[in-house]
Amino acid sequence: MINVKAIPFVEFASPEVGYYDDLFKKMGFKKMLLGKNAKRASGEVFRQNNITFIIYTKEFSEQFYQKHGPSVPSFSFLVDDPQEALKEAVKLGCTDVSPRSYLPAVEGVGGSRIFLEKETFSSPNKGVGLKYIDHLNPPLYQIYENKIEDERTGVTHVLKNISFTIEKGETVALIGRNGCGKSTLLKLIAGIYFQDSGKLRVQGRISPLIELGAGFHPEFSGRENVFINGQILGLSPAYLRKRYDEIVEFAGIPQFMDLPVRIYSSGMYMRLAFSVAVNVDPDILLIDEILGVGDSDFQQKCQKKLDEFKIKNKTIILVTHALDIVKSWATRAIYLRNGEVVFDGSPAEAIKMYQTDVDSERQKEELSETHLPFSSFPKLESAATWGQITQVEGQTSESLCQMLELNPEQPGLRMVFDLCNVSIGEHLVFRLLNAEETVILFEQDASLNDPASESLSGAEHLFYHLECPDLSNLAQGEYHVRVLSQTPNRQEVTLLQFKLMIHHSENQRGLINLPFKIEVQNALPA
Amino acid sequence: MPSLLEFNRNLSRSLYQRRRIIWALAIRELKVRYKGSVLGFFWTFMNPLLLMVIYTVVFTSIFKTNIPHYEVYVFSGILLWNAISGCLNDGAACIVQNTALITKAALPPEIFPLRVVLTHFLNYLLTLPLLFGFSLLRGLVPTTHALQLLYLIPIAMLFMLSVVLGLSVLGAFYRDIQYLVNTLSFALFFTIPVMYPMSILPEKLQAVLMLSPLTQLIQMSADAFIFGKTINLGMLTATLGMTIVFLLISLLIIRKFHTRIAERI
Repeated sequence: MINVKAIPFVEFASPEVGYYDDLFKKMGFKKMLLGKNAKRASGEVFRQNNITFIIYTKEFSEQFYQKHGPSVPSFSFLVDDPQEALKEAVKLGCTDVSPRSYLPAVEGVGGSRIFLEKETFSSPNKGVGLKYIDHLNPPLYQIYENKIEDERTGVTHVLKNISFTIEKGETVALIGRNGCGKSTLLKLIAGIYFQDSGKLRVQGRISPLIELGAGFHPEFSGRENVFINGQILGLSPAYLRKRYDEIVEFAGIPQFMDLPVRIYSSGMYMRLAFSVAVNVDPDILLIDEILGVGDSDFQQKCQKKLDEFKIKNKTIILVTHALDIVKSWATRAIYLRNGEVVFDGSPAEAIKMYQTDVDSERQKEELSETHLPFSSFPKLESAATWGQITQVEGQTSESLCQMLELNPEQPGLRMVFDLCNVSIGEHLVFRLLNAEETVILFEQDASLNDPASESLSGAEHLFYHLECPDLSNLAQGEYHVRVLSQTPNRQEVTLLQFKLMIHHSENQRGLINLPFKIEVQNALPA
Repeated sequence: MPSLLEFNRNLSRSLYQRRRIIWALAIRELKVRYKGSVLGFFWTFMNPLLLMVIYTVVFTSIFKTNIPHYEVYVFSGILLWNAISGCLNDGAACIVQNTALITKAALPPEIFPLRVVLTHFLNYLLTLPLLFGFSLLRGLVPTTHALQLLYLIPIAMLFMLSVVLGLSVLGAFYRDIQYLVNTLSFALFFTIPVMYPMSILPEKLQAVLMLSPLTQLIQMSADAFIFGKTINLGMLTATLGMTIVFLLISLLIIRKFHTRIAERI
C-alpha cells in the first residue's frame, strides 16, 4: 500500500461548459481552462493561490450524482482552509454561505466543502438550487487523480490486471514510463514486495540485481566488501575465495583492493560491485537499471558477461530505459502503462508503441498548455482590408500580450509583450508557418538579456515590441503565427498563436507574392 | 494467512538458509564498531568500568553497603545489561536502518533482529575474559558454578531474540517505537539488580521485580558467577516460559506485518 498525498482543491460542477466564465473573471483568475478543453476531460485542474481547482462538466456531474445521491448540478468549493474559502465566497458576493455545508468526512482528503446557495448562483437552464447534499458519501476522487483509488484508505494499486508467464531462457524487458510499476513488478518477483491479490509463482533460484554494491560499507576495504557483498548475493565464502582473483581482474582495480571503499571513485565502486554481482549463478536474474556502468570498455565486458547468462539459458528479466539495449538484447518486451500491461511481445513493437505514447503525451501536454481561449482582440477581424486574424490562442491572456494590431492598409502586424513574466535568458521567437505547420516560412528571435533590455531592467515593466510591417509578399491564404519564449536548451512555450488570413485583391496564384509588372511596348528596351 | 505453525516453519527455514549472511553481517557489525578507533575494543568496557567505579564509590561510601565484592557484582551486571539494552535499542531500529539490504538486495527483514542479538552477545562474550580477570584481581575466584553461564547465556540470547523479533517489526511500522524503547530501557535499568543487590529491597518489591525476565537473567548470572550458587530452577523455568510467550507474540506480529515491511521502510 502506498500512501497518496491528498491535494487541497476547489471543485465546480458546471451546468454547462463556459457557464462560470464570468465568475472566474470576477475571481481574477488569469488562466481559464474552461471552454472546449473542459469537454474533453471530466475534470479540469488549474491552480490559483495554491488551491487546485477542479472543474467538471454537466454530463460528468450528472453521472456523478446518479452514483452518489440525488442532486442537481452544483457548484462547490473544496479547499484546504474552509475559512479562506468562506472569505473567498463572500468576496464573490455570496450572501448566504451555508454552514451546514461543511463536510467533515471529506477533510481527510485535504479540504472541506462549502457550497453556495442558489440565490447567489442559479443555473440559467434549470433554475434550481445548487446544493450538493451527499454528506454521507463523499465522492471518490479517483477520476481526478489516476493514482487515488480510494481516498478513505489512501490506497494506490500500482499494478492492475497483470498476467503473464515467462518461460525458461527468455530475456524479458519491462519498459514504461517512470512510476508505471516496472520496479514494483520486479520487486514482487524478487519476493521483496507481496501482492495484495492474485498469484505469483516463481520456480527456481532468483538473484535480484536491483542495486549494485548492496551492503558495501565505506570503511571496509574492497576485499572485505567483496566477501560481504558476495554473501549477501548468496555466494558462499569458499566460492568467493576461489573466484576472488577473477573478480579483482574483472573490476580492473587490483591496486585498490586493500583500501577502504570510501576513497573509491563512484566508477570504481560500481565496477567492483558489478564484478561481484556477475558471479551469481541463479536460474532467474532480475536486473533493474544497473546496466551502463563504467566506461565503454567495461561496458563491453559487462555485455559479454550478460551474454554468457543468455547462452547458459538463464531467464533474465530486466527493467531499463535504455531502449537500444531492449532492442538488441531482449527476446520479449512487456510494456506497462499506469500499472497495466499494454503490450507483451516483440521488443521492437513494444518500443514503437512506447515511443508513440510518449510522443503523443508530449503533444497533448503541449496542446493543453497552448490552446487557451483568447478573446481579447475582437476587433481585429474587421479592422484590416487585406486580411484577418482568427483563433487567437496562447499561453497567456492580455496580461502578457498587451497588444496585437494589424496595419489596416497593407499586410503588416505589430504586437507588444509585457516581459515581466518571461525570465531573463530566454529568447523571444517570432515564427511564421504555413497552415499545415510543416514549413517555417520565417523566423526571427531576440535574446531577452541583450544590453538594450538590461539597461532597462530597473524599470518595473518592460515591453517588447514586435513588428512585421510588410507581409505583402505572402501569397493569399492561411498562415500560422507563433510567438514563443525559448529557453537556452530549446524548450519552447507558446506565448501567442494565431491564424492569419491574407487575401489580396488581385487574383494571385503560387506560393509567394512578388511585385510584378507586365506591360506591352512596341520597342525593345534600351 | 498461514497458520502460525506453518508460518514459523517457513520463517525458520528462510532464516536457516541465510545463516551465513546473518553471521557475516554480525561479524561485520562488530568490526564496524571498532574500526577506525584507536582503542577499539577497549571502549566496550570503558563505559562499564566507569559506571562500576561510580556505583562502587556511591554505594560503599554513601549507602554503606557491605556486600563482598560489590564492584565485581556491578561490573558483571553492567556488562550483561549493556548487551540486553543494546539488543533492545538496536532491535527497534534495525529493520529501518537496513532498508537498502531489504528492498534492494532482497534480504528477509527478519534476519536483522537475529543479527542484532548475535552482535551484542558476541560482544558480551568477548568482554567475559576481562570480567574474569577483573574478578580474580579483586580476589573473587569464580567457582565451578560459573560454568552455568554456558547455558545461561544462550537462554539470555533466546529471550532477547524473542523480544527483538517482534520489536524490530513494530519499529519498522511505528518509528516512535525506537524512541520509546530508548527511554524505556533507561527506566528498566533501575528495576534490575545491577547497581544494587536484590537483597537490600523490601521483600514485597523484590517479589514484584522478580517477575521481570530481565531481573531474572541478571539475578541468575550473578548467582552463577558472583555468589557461586546453583541457579534456581523455578526462576529458570519462568524465564523460559516468558521466552515462549514473547516468541509467540513476536511471531504473531511478524505474521501480521511481514508482507508490508518492505513497503513501509
